[in-house]
Amino acid sequence: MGQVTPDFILKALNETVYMVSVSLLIGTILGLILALLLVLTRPGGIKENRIIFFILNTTINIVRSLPFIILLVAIVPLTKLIVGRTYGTEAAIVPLIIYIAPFIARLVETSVLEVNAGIIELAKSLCATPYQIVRYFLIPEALASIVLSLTTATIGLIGATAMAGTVGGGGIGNLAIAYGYERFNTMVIVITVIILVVIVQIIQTIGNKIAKRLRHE
Amino acid sequence: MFNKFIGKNQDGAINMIEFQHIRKEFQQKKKVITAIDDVSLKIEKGDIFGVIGYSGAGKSTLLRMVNGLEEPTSGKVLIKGKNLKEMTKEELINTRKKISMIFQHFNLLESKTVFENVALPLILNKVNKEKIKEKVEQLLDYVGLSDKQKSYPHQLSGGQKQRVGIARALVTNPEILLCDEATSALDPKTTVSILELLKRINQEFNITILMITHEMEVIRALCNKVAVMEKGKIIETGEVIDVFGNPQQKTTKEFVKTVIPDEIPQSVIEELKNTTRHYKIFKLKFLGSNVTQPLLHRISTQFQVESSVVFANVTELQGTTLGIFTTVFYGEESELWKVQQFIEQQDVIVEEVKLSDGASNTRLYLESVK
Repeated sequence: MGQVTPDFILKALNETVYMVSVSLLIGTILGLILALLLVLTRPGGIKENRIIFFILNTTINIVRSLPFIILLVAIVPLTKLIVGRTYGTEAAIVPLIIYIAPFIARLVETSVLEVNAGIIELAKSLCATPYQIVRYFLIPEALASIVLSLTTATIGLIGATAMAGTVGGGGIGNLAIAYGYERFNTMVIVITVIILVVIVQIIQTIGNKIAKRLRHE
Repeated sequence: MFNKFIGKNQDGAINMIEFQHIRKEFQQKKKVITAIDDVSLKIEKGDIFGVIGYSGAGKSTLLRMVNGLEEPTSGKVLIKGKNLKEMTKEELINTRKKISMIFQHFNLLESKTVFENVALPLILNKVNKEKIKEKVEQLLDYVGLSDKQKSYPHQLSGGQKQRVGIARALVTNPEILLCDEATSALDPKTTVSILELLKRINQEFNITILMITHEMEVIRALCNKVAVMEKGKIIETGEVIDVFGNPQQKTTKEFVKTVIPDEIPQSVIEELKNTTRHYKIFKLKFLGSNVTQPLLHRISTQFQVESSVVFANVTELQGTTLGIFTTVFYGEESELWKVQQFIEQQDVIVEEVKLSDGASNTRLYLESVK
């Protein structure tokens, strides 16, 4: 396996976990806020606002239509502004957040919109404020579905980190590309793919379990 | 006419809810659709008022105007004499918090336990925890679900879910309970038990109930007053006993027929058409103790006619009975006229029934004159 030692793989794994968890955390916060704003301001929503909805909706669509590799390069100036560097694991996190937040926003928006309209009618009949509607009705009812959405987003994020190598982000995916694919080392490809398959399986299983818990089945 | 059967004195009663010339229009693409067309209604304190109509009649929109989920295009909604539109924000919220609602599909939060669902209105009102616990336990006991506190809605039957909905509605001590097709998703047996619970709530807490339904059985079993809605208009309204006893409009008659059949069986009609004797058919409706009076006996002793009951039904309504006896009288033309005059003087509702095929009647008449 040449210079690819278990230590090397462990380091790559570490980088992946770091990139995924930080960008997932911040991306989830941004995504949730965006999703709730979309649901509240949409036509017929509780706080209908055509202008805000139009701006958010269009921006999310534009960001979501960019391939990640293009986004990664396009926002280099912004990355430099935020983390002070254009290279390294931290530098990869900025584009990952910008990539994942709108994706989470769309998934969570769908989850929240699936909440039975009768629940919102109930909330209104109880004179709930918009904040109370979100806090006590929409989020608890959508939570199981939101967890599944976040599971999907996490797995998407792991895929995106493979391209983080372009800006020196490292990680498992980068290992597969740089040491396996580009140097014709089949063994490295096989090992990294196995690791990724196991990680994805674990995340999906955990996500399903939590969602099931939340549904009290 | 049957005011003597009404338990309540109408004078001086408070109008809990009053609709004054309500109109509601919806803009649908470029067409304006009128959902409610000049509706005026008064619902007194303590009433169980039923609004019945086919789907699309506008009853659901009307119900939602009481708690502000819908606003009228024109007209006024008064709660205890006060126009909702003229209230200050605070007044409006305080008024709306005294109006609870239960729903056809229960609208329980699937992610919360029974206890948490019932507690929800109090949590929104920032009531303290001990008070919430006390109140919720008391109401779950009242609706008979003490042992289900920790269950989740998907573990309950439809009837139990509606009981949770009712407990949740009562937890804020409302003065008005709005019921939106509250039994339409339940089987007949469960419907009866939910209606009994609603009746008990009305009596014990003196809560005014406004309910909409498309089931006449619900009106019969529960309501003291009814309004029939069709195409956005109230076509008939009054005490349940009056409307059931003597429906005027076609739609009302259709609804009444679903719980109180009053039609002569087809085989009997065929037989009557073939008879050569002269006859008249009267539908006699007796209310309350009238049902026991020996009217038919008196007719057959005083007049030269023979009588035969071709249809009979006795229904219990609002603690009184409604008896329908469709009777054929055979005899001379002059005697039949006398019978008709005699019946009309009695304390019964009378209606002459003409068999649908009028031509054969004329033929029979000519034959008997010959």
